Amino acid sequence: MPQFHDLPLPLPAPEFLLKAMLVIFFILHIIFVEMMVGATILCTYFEWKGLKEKNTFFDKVAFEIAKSITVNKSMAVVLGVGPLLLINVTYTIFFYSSSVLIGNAWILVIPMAISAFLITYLHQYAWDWFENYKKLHVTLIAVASLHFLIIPFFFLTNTNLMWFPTVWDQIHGFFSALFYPNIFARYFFFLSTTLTVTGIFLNWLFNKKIKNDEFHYPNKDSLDNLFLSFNRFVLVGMFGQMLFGSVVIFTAQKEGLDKNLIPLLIGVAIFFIPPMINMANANLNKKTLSDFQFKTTVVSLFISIIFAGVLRHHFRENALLPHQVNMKKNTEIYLEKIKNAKKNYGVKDYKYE
Amino acid sequence: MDFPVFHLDFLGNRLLIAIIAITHVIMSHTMAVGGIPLITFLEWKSYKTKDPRWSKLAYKILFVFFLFTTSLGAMTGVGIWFSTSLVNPTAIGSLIRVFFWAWFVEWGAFVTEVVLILCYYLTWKKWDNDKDKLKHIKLGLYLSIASWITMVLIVAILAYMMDVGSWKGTHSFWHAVFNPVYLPQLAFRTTWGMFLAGGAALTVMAFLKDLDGEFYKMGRKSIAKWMLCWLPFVFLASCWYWSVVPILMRENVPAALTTQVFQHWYQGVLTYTFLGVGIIVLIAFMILNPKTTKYINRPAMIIPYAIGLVLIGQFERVREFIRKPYAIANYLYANTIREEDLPLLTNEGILKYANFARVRKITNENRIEAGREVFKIACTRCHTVSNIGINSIQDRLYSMFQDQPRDGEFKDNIEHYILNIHQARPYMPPFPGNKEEARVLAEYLAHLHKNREELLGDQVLGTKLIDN
Repeated sequence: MPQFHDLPLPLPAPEFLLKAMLVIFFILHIIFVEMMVGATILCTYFEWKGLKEKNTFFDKVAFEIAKSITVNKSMAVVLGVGPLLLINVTYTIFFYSSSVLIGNAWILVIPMAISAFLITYLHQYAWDWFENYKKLHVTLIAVASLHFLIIPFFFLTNTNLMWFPTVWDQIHGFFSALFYPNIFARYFFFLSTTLTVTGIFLNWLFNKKIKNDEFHYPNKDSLDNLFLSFNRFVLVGMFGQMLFGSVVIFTAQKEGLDKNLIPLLIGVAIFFIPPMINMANANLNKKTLSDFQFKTTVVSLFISIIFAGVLRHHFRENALLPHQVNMKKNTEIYLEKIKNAKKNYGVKDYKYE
Repeated sequence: MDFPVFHLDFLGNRLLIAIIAITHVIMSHTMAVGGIPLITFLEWKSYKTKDPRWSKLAYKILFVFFLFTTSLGAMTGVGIWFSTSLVNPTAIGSLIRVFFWAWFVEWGAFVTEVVLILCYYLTWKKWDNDKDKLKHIKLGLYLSIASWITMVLIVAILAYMMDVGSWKGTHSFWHAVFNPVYLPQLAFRTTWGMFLAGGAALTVMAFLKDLDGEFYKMGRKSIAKWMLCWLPFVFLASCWYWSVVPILMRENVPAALTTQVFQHWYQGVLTYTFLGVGIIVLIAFMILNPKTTKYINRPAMIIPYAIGLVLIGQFERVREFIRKPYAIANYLYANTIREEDLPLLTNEGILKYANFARVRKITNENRIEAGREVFKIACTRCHTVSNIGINSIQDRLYSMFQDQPRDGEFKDNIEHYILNIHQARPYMPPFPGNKEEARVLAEYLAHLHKNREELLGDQVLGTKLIDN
């Protein structure tokens, strides 16, 4: 087992509290990330569809979606700071070490996110200016989507690497860490969840806009079709979640597994069923969701996500537990040695004279 | 030494942080902390004078500030964490342990700030009647306060890095927050932010085409007044800040303002710095004066901000440099070694205790590799190896020894120099290894003279774990 000692400063709060906060705030962050990524992809889709079918309705839909990206991306970034702070303080040695091991890719997150944000701004605020250059305009948002599709790989690789210190000495940069088991399965699971969450978000957004008379549509059929397409995204996303979720579980590294994960997994599945039934019904009967169905879908899915968040945390804890115990012991030994060294060798004054 | 070593052998690790952090400071100070109060002031002026042109001007400036702060500003803020966690994880990790709750509250303020700026920007045109306008101005005021609170909390940490005050004895959170440098640095950053927000607004105005001529002059006059109103406070806060900078750090200022090589240009650079401030003030006065205002054309309106950006970069560089040899004053050296670890490491060796060293034991066969490893752990936070790298060790050696042969005598001299480096250069930390490690480091440095090589970080090479 690899040996390392921790920083000699105490944790600023009880460990369980920091970890509970990490799980909660990460869920809030990831929901906004999913809405940001999903909205960017679906904005590309609708604008492209509008251009291809020469249908201005889809162009208007794309514009409304584009406006939401500005808000969601700001919330995604700001809500990401909390979990980042918490993971830094709770898993200092593990998180920083894995970050360094894929350092070149890790720091790329910053310029890539800045570039994606500036492109989404240009895309939204220069919408009219690009009226006669529609292909270029779609390309812009497609490029932003591409940014958002690449960035998750950096995060997934880092968090995956952090969980398994025993493989650290086999890593030689980002790409050697990228192909460790279950990163791609988790990536596609993330994309599926993105589709689910964004479909639900757009359902809510356009309902709100119609109620407030902020979105005008040519006829009822177009609107019904729009909501049906949102529901289709949700259903496809949910099937993706089931498929890739299963792959994630079956390819999960044994270090993180134990029997306590089973009730959590059952919790995820149980609360996944009502939204699944609602969305399957809506899609099969080509009907929009009632207010009640929509609310039960959101609440139930949110509880399922909480279970998934706790499950993921439990897996991480299992994987890191032996290393944390060992590190604690090593830290005590190291501090004792420092104390003895002061006594045995004396403390020299290194101040500049 | 607690983490694998991230290293950029051309750019240098310090410059990576500097690029990200200075961009963030520019955005946060001039467009958020100073910028939002200025916009709120212009909006209030519109409300008071019933002249919608002020509101139009304020909105146009806000649009630019909004775009930059919520993209470049927000992401470089996160980028500071990313880059510092790569370059000096021990420092940022220790700071987070000490200041966790301050950072947590700051996060709350940041969330509030982002929510408020989204509301402030997105409701500008919707809340257009008299009653709503007043509500909107209040929103601007709350946003200004939230922006400032984020600075209030972060500056405590920056100031603590310069002087930990009585924290070292007590390890108390409040002693860490209320360190001797805190309030003066806060005053300095606040007033500079307010002052240079005017420069940022003038720059935006330089690109605005659709404001009528008479109002354009009124607008920039008002912004120039704003800048000049803050000027005395900038002066007072700067003096206050300078008065609390520890004496030892002040001695580093000549090298900080220039570089080691150009230290003798210190007075000149200092003069140019004051001249820069003087030009900003002169332009503001010229805008105010009806006789001279015509000389300040659109390109000239960009000059105050351009100078301001250079000054901000310079201030940040000076603050970072004078703190040396420490990353956290009297606690952690810039090379990630804790002061209290020195008795152990200088006697028993750093290779033995570094969590991720590739070489544990020095043998006759691995002396160069061991020297490289010691260099990587002890020197790469500031120095590069490549002869085209920034702050390259090869350049430093060449400037000291030129083509002198790298023989046994050279190695003896270097070894002696390494062991006493903290006395030769006040900004250098003491060598954190034992004598044998100093010797292999000297041999590695001699080896570099004949073998021009680059040093790759663990993000490329990978790492080695101690196993038992």
